[in-house]
Amino acid sequence: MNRLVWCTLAASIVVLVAVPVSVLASRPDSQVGSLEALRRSDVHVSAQTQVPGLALPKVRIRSGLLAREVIRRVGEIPERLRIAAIGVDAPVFPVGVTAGTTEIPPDVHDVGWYRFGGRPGGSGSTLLVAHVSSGTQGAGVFIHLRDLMPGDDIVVQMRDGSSSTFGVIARRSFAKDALPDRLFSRTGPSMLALVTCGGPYDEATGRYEDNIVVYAVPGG
Amino acid sequence: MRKSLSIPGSLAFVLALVLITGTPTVTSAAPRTGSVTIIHGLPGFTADVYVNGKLLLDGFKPTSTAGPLQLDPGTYKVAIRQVGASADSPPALSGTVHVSAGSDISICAHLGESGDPSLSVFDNTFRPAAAGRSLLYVRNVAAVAPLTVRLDDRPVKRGLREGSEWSTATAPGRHTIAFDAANDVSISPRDIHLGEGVAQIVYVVGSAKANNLDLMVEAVQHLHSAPSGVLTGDGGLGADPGFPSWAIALMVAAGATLIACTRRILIQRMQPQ
Repeated sequence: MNRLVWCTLAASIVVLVAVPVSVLASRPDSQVGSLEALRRSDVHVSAQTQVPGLALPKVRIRSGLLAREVIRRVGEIPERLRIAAIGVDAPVFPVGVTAGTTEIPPDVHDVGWYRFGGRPGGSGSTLLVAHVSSGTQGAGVFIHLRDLMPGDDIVVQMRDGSSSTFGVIARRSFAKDALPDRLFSRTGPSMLALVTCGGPYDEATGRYEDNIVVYAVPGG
Repeated sequence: MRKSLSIPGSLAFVLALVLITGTPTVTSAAPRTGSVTIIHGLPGFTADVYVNGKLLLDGFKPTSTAGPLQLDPGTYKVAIRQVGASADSPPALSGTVHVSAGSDISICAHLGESGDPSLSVFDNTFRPAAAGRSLLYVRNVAAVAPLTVRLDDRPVKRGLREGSEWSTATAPGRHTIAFDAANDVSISPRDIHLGEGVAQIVYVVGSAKANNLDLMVEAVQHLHSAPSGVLTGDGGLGADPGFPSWAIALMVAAGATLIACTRRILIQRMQPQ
């Protein structure tokens, strides 16, 4: 009799410790991978540098007439996003800015491409945004973004029919008001950034407290 | 934001506006050089441009731009001569320009309001555009009466005098820009593309009297701001999970068992055998 009581006591202690530990351990980590590959963005890119008094450099001369102005953008416009690891295969639409914040496609199954940022094949950050969920439409296309791990492949199909593969290098979580400016950069190394909401959900405001950001670089 | 330089012969003195402001580039290191662009808005005058006595631009044609040059901070003597004129001949235009680290200036050779050649320095250290907006700057550097600026067929500024600058923030994309002035002077509408986070500077150059008014452009990049946020969800479906209910049930049961067992053991201990 006594032995049975002691065994039950021990078993209940094991359950009390093991259950919370395993629940916490099974949660996806909010910070994985390294951003080392993007370090090059700190390099200052300048057209020409010269020392006064020494030989003057060749200067770029061009017509300054308005009519001759040529707008040239490097890179392609994304049209479709595929991420096999989390079952994403979604159309991509260009988005801009509404009321100071990044415009998000109204349909939770669509992905938005921040058209003022970078493009695949060009420099800077190609920023793709989409819903994690909606109160009226349910789960969004990026519901499982927080499960992406370094090494996962992301395929972006462009409007011209070509496609580029990016490899995930890191995943981060940021407070909503602390998103790094680098995500919107048009200069620096070519990278892909996927952004959605995450973290705790505030019932009062109907909003998530954080943004989940997945960083990827060209090459699978 | 302009200081007029001398016309030929007089002593030239310009205070290039030396603003050391953190321009919003992605670079983390503070710039060590200043950026200089040369704008040739002097009709009918092919120029040799000298900087500190050295020939920088040989046969620089009207309506051309040169640069941007990255120059170390310091004072530079700029002299402009007719193409092919000897390097020691008196310059047609000359001036002194101060370059500081992080500054961005445009040196513009042009006609003043009265039609005399002039050299001006403009400061391009602009404040960033709001996210999703473009900046348009107009600089009147022509021999022309005060201008009315028309953007997309609407007069947006009247009385823009020679030597002055006007600016506005507007939506990115394609617009039309046109100008008119007294005595039926006008520059017909032209398409202009405004990039988000880019300041497009339009120079009105030439002379109304000589009927050679024209528009030159210069773009200042990287004036964009990041949007204030990415709001990608409501409904809470993707929120971090709390403790799952099975785990809570299991822990409550284990807690109850623990208390029951402890109580049982204590009671047994206290009871004499």
